[in-house]
Amino acid sequence: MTQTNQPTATSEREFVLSRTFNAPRDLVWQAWSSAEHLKQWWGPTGWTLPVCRIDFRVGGTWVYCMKGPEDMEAWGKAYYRELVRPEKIVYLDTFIDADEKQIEGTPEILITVEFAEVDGKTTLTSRALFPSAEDLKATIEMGMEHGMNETWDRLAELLADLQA
Amino acid sequence: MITAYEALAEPTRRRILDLLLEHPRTVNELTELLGMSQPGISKHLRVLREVGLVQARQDAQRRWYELRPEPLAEIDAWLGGYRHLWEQRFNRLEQYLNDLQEKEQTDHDPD
Repeated sequence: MTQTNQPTATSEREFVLSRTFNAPRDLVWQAWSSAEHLKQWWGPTGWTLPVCRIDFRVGGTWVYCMKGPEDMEAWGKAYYRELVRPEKIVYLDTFIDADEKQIEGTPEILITVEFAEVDGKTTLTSRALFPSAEDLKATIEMGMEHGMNETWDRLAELLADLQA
Repeated sequence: MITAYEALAEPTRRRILDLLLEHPRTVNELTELLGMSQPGISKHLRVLREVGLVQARQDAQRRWYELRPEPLAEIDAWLGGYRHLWEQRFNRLEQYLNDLQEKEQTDHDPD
């Protein structure tokens, strides 16, 4: 794997990313709530989103496939937990295979996205809450018991590619 | 080739790492603390050394085993990659929102 961060990062269960976009809040909200929009930006640079099935309501799910160089695929499934239009989206982020089966040994990450409007601009804050270091370790161990090490390796490769 | 994660899956090996987290120890100390046979402990230590989680250091009288946390940092690398994915996502969203608004303006522009 590539460069490592401080080992303490594992115990910090949350990371927060915030940015102000030069766009009204309603538009930013729309960009998050329909397949038509998400297909245009959700995948990493150079990737497409050939699959994007979204049921945008509390209790609904969103299944997507990101397709990258050399036909590399990464599937994800989100479970919407809370939707407060146009202020907040809370969902559980999971890693799945093409059959929508959760990949064993991968963590479930709770994402909270908040939309705040100031003077016609929108500040977006995304929080990713990881399982505790203990839970994460247990998840990884469970994955190993099922011989899913390769999956972790593939995910690590994908993420390393993204950083290149 | 066994990985660090696989090495960690074994409970006795996790207990060894917990004990080494406190300070370096000898095989005899570990044998007493864990109530296991010396060959058994040695076997686990060998696995832990193979994956790089433990290293041995020899002084005049004894051989000390100490923790080497670097492989655990791989998990952090993975989390770092996930974070980076989000940064890229925000970059693309920014570009997309700009494009959308430009398009809207062009559509309303009589020229």
